[in-house]
Amino acid sequence: MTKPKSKKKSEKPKEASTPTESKVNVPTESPVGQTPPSAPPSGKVAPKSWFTAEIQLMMYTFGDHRRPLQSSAALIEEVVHSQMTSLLHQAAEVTIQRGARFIGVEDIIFIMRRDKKKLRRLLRYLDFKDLKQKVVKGSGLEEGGEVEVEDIKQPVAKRRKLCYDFLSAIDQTGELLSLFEDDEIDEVKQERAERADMQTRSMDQTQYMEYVEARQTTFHKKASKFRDWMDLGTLEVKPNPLAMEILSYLAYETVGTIVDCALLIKKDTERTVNNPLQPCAPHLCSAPDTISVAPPPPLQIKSPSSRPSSPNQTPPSTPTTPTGNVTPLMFGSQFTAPPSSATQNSNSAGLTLPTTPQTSIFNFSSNSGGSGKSKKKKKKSGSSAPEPASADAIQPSHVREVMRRYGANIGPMAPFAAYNKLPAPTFLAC
Amino acid sequence: MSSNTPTTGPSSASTNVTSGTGTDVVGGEVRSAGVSLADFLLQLEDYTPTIPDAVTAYYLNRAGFEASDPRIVRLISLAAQKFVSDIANDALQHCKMRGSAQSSRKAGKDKRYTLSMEDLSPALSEYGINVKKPYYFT
Repeated sequence: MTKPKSKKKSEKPKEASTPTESKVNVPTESPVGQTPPSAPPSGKVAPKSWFTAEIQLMMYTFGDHRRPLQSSAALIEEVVHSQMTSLLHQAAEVTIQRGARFIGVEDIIFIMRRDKKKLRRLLRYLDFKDLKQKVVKGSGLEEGGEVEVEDIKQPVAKRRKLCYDFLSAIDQTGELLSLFEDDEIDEVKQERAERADMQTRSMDQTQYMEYVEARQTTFHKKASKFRDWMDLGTLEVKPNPLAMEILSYLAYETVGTIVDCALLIKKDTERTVNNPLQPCAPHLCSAPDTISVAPPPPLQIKSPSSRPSSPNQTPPSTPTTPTGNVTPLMFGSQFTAPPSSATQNSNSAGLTLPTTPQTSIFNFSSNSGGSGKSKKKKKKSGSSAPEPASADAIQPSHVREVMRRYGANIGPMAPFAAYNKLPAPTFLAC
Repeated sequence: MSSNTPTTGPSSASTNVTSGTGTDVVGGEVRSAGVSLADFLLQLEDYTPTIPDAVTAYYLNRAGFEASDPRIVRLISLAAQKFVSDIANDALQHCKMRGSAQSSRKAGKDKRYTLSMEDLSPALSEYGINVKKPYYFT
């Protein structure tokens, strides 16, 4: 657990020395994504930016700004890298205990056995991959005789069979095997889908095509680069291709989890109009940088120009140029239900996703008053014009707060459980 | 303790998926953790945990707690039983994992597993208990 934290601390002075980085806009097809660049002049040994461009695209699809900050993406890359590396090492230990020759899906499932929801998500993902393989194979055969059909049946559901065999071997109480037949809705995926729906509702054709392209970004597209990134040379046993596929999926899920939580934290750091005690309340985010993120000028309900939130739910025909005549009534209706429940929910255990719809995230535009106008234009304008990254995007301080909250021991017994902390590194993916 | 809050909906406190906060969502309404525990206490009346009441009461007294309600004592002994059972289950999973790659079709072996320190140590360390026994040289 200390490993990712120490990396973050070393990141911080580097962050402070490059404040201009956040102003640079990164085109989506940056050549950075193709080859790892040479070592930056700050003196770090390893090349720092393997997947930053891809991670920026992923952040965009998960709900971040149109052009996510490069510093945030670099930090997320760092976190994902260290998490996946320690996951690999732990999986290698499991493989050695098992006596197998390669790290396989069984080892990763064994590590994930504690968290049923994430395991279920992984199993569903593998089912989907099997289905895709079956469909591709089925459609590839034009001369469909019965003999071929028999042949296809063998490689079908190979992943599912592997998982099922292993889980039935280790399962004692039946709860792991029940995940295969579990039909419950995955709440996190549901929330992400709703957020994506809100995000894309106001997009035009070109923007949406760009969004679709970004959504197809995975770590697995450049599998050999991912393999190099993972640096398998130090491992005693190497992962097989299926394990690498799962690892790239888990890395993608890690980015998703970080962005989910960072969006919540971004909402926490914003002032709400409805909560009169909020200036007096202690800060919800105690990671060092988040407090110093400039708080917005004190808001009055009667001055709507400081909060020009463009209601994304309304059809794009509404006028977007902010005038001083935006009715306070509009703000009243937006700010009634979500904020109190949002802050209340985020006051409880830090990482639960609020049950209120995430539409409130898009209603609460960030409060730097000066960038209000440009931000409104941004939401409407097309993708072609390069725009400066505003304070609307996820900041590195939010990411740091995510990591702090994820490792913090919370709950009703937390003040009394100082000696009960789990020593094992907690993974965002499992 | 006799006037517990009335429950709405089925008393499925144990099967509700809690989202990690103290709240449950049963039948669309949010209940606090205290309400679920109160329900659970009612269900507990016809279950006797493995740890005898007297033993648990003794240890509670040593820690400074005098239990007037025997249901509280049973709740705590159930919690202790769950803790031990979780660790044993984890150790069993470690043991089965070791054996899963080899000898997958040995029906005789599948009936008898021996708890060894090899399996117990990693299981305990996940709960924050670090044990190290010296190797024995013979």
